[in-house]
Amino acid sequence: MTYSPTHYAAALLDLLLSKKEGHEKLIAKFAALLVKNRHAGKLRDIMNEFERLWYKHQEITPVTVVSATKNAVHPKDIEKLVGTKIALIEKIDENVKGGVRISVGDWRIDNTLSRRFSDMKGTISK
Amino acid sequence: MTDKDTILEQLKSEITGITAGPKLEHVGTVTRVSDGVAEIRGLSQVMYSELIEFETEKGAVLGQALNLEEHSVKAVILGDREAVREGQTAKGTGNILSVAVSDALIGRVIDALGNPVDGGPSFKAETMKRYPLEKIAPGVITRQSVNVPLQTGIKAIDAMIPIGRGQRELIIGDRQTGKTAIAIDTIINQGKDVRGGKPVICIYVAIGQKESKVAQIVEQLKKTKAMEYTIVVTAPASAPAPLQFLAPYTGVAIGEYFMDQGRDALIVYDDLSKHAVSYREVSLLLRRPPGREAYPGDIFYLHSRLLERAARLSPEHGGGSLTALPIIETQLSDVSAYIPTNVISITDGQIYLEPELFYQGTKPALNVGLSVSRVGSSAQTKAMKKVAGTMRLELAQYRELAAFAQFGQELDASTKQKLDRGRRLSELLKQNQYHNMPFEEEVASIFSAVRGVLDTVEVSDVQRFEKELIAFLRGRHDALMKKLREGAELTKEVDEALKAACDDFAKNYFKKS
Repeated sequence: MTYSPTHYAAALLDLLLSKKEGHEKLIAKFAALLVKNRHAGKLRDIMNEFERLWYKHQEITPVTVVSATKNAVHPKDIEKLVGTKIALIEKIDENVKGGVRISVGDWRIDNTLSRRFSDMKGTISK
Repeated sequence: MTDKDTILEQLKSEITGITAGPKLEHVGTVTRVSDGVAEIRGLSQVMYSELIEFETEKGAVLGQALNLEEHSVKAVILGDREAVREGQTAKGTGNILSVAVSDALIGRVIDALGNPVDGGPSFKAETMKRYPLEKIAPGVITRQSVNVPLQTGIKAIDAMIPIGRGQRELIIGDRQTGKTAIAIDTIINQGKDVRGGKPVICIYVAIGQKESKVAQIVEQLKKTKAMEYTIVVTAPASAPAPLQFLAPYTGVAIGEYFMDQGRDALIVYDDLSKHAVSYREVSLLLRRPPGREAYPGDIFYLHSRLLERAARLSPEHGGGSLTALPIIETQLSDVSAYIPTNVISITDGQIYLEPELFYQGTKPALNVGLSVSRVGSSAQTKAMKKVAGTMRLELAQYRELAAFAQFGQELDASTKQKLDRGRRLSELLKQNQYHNMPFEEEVASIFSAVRGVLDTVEVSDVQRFEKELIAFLRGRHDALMKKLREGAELTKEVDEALKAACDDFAKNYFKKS
C-alpha cells in the first residue's frame, strides 16, 4: 500500500498526542521511516497536512492578516467573525498602502487600498 | 466648462462607478511548479476547467484547473510559466475557460486564448460575446440531417467523397501527401462558391505546426482573398502543450458562434495527431495514469467531444452549420494505429491520401478504395450524383484490372475498354493545388469522361482537352453552364445540350490536332 501525506500526517499527529514526552525522538524515528519508505520527497506535503490536521484537532482557525501597519486588526473581532479560536499570523507589507487583507482557509477578504487602486486602474484603462 | 474641468468630471463619474467595498476571493497557495504545471494548496471549491489567476511579480498569469485532488489542485499554466513561483497566491476566477467572439475575428490570426498575434489592433472585449471552450454538443432534437453540399472545388472529392454542411470528414495520410493542401483548397473554394450571399466562414486551427508554415498559409489565404472570411487560430510548435491542447476548442467555440447566428462555418483541425500528443504531454505532467501508447484513458473522449460539436442545426434553431475537417498524420501509412482508428470511428468518413499515388504524380493522392463519405452522398447535388454515380466503381475496377494487366496477359475488348476509361478518368481527376473548379465545370468535366467523349483522347492529352473544353463551354455555352449551376440538376434537356456541346468541341478538337 502506498501511504499518502495525509496517512503519514494523521499517524504522526496520533503519536504526538498519545505521548507527552520524547517528541524529538519520535520525530527522528518518523523521519527515518520516511527515508526507509523512500517517501522523504513527500515531507513538505506531510508537514502541510500535519498543520491542517493539528489546527483542526485544536479547533483553531489560522488567520493571516496583511496590512501596512502593525496591529491593524483586533484578534477578538476576527474571532467573532470566524466563530472559532484563531491563530493570528500578522504580516506587514507597505505595498498594501492601507486597509487589510484577511485570509481564512481558502477565502480572502481584500479591503486594501492597493487592490482598490488596481481595480480603478483596470476600469479606467478599459 | 474648461477642458480640465471636463476631464475631472469624467474621472469623477468613472471613479464613482467603481465598487470600493471589500472583495471576497477564493484563493490557494502554489506549493510546486514544474514543466508548466502548478500544484496549488487550497482552492477547495474550484471547478474543473476553471480559469485561475496566479499573482506573480510580472502581473497576473492565467492557468486552468485540470486535476482536482483531495487536498490540492493541479493547474496548467497558460501564460509566462517562468513567472509562477512557489508560495505565490492563485485566485479562482469562477469562470470556465472561454473565448471572446464576434465578427471582428474574421480575417485575423489569433492564439489559443483568443489574443491577436498578427500585429493588428487588439479586440474590444466589451463588444464581444464570450463562448465557453468546453460545451456539450448540440443534441438530437436541435439537429437536422446533412443535405446541403460543401463544395471543395476538387473534382475527385466533390464527385466521389462528397462533403455536406455539418459533416465531419477526416483527411488522413502520411506526411507530405497533400492533407493541408486539400483543407486550404476547400477554404479558398468557399470564396468562389458563394451561395446565399455569404461565404462559409472558415476557421483554420494550426496545432503544433511550424510558425513558417502557418505564415505561408496565411499569406496564401490573403493572396486568394480567403482571409476575408477566414480566422486562423494558431498554437505553433513553440507554444506550450496546454495551449496546443486548447487551440481546437477555441476554434470550435468560434465556429459555434457563427453557427448559432444561422451561418455556415467550416473548421479545419491541422492536425489532431499533434493535438493528441500535446494532451498526452499535459496528462503525463498531471500524473494521470498512462494507457495505450502512453495516451491517457480519455483520449477518445478528447476527440469525440470536440468533433461532436460539428452539426447542422434545424431551422427552428437557426439552421446554421459547422463542418469539421480534422486532419490526422499517419506513420508509414498505418491507419490502424491508436489515434487514427479513434478519429476514423468518430468521423462521418475519411479522405485517405496515399504516398505512392502522390509520388506517381496523382494529386490529390486520393485512395478511392479506402476513402469514404458516410453522409455526404445525400448532400450531393442531383447533377453530380448522376455523372459521378458510376465513376467510383469504374475507378475501383480499373485499379484492380491495372494490377493484372501489368503481367502482360491477353486482354479481352471489355477489359481493355475499362482500362482505357480508367486511365483517362485517373488523369482527369488530377488537379493541382489552388486550381479549384466551380461546380458546373466539375460536372461538365466528369460528364465528358463518363459519356465517352474522352475515350478517343490520348491519356497524355486529357488535361489539355479538359481545359479547352471548359473554355469552350464557358465561351460558347455560358447559358447552359449557368443553367447547370443554378438548377444543380442534369435534366434531360441539359444532358442532351451538354452532350451535343461536348461532341461539337471534340469534333473540332481532333480536326485541329
